[in-house]
Order: sequence, then structure tokens, then C-alpha cells
Amino acid sequence: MKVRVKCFAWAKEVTGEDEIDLEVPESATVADLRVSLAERFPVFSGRMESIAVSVNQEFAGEGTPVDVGDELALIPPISGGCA
Amino acid sequence: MICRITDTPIDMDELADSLDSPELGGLCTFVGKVRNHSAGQGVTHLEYHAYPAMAEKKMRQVAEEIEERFGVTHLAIAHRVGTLAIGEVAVGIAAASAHRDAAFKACRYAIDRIKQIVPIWKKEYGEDGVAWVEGCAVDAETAEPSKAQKFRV
Repeated sequence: MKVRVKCFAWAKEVTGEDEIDLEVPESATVADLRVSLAERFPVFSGRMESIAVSVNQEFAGEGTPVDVGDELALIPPISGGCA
Repeated sequence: MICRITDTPIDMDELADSLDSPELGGLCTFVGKVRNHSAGQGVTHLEYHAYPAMAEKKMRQVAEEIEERFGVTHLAIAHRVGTLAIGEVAVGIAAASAHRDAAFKACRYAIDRIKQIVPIWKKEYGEDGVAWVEGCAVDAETAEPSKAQKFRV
């Protein structure tokens, strides 16, 4: 199945897109999403551990299911506020 | 309760006035401004980017945590996005309570927690080049912060 994933900040810059479509297996999880992401955009491979994934606007663990209707996003390390 | 991402200048008076109530004796505000230096290098300006819907949702989570921890229910948070010049307000927080102690604690907690869990990003333009300032890689299970770093573009 194909899922749509929002890209922000660094992730938006390296993909060149606000949103990308990724092909993932049926009953996929966040971990599967990462596999598809790294295949399509190898630049993520080197720093996958620093990229969080959100599912329906909540940070999601690796086992969280992802489905076609979910709002998915790639969240690079955040730096809101100010020091 | 204000939890807002905005692309227009933040009005601190508006945030503070939104918490005006006769039972609130302590009002604490924090203003985060764009600084002209970072890690020893000059900064010319910043760009703030956000995932607005999730950012406002996570700000509301911060507000809920503050109510649980400090019993403070009067809180206003606004975070700017877009290109900001040196000295402009990037984030404004106001917290009010009956007495000062809880208001101070709420304000401090709010800014620290925003930097951990609210999806907002800062791109720094300076004499050293351009970099995404990467403060906190979010662990999905814990939302614990990691060491700040810069990621050159």
C-alpha cells in the first residue's frame, strides 16, 4: 500500500518535497516505513536514529501501525523556543 | 488558554492580558528573542519552521503537564515561524497563578518542555554558513532530549 508522509525542516530539504509517497507492506509499522524511506532516500540511512516519526500528530514507537488514512510525518531533531 | 503558532509578531501584552483575572496575583512571562551569536559565531537571522497542527497539539500537552505538576491553569504560549531578525520575539510565554511560585515554575517548565516535544525547527544564518540547529532528537517512547548540535546544509 502507499502511504503519504509529511516532511519537515531537514527532511523537507533533502527530499525536496512537503510530502512523499512511500510503498509499504500491508499491516506496516513505523519500522517498515523507515525501511521504505531509506530505500527511496538513502540520505536518511546515516541518521535514521535522530529522525522521529509521528502518527496522527503523536510521536510513534517502531511497532506503531501505519495505514493509508494516517497522518504521518518525519520529525528531525527539534529546536523550538530559544536558549 | 492560548497555544499558538503564528507568522506575525508576538504581542506579549496580549498574552499577559489574556490571563487577567482577579484571583491571579502572580503573572510570570518569558520572552525568547533571536540572538546575534551562536556557539561563538555571528548570526544574521533565523528561520523558524513548524508542523503547525502537531505543534499546537504538543503545546496543549505542555499546558496539561503544567496543570498536573503545578496546578497552573492560566497559560499562554505563542511561537513565531518564518524569517526573524535579531532581537525579534521567537517565543512568548505567560503563566499566571494565585501566588508567584507556581507561576515562575510553570513558565520555566513551559520553555524547557517546548524545546523537547514541540515540532518547531530553527535554521540559523550566520557568518559560519547555514545550519539547522538540532536541539532534541525525540525518542518516541520517552521524549528525552539529546545534546544540541548543528547540521550543516
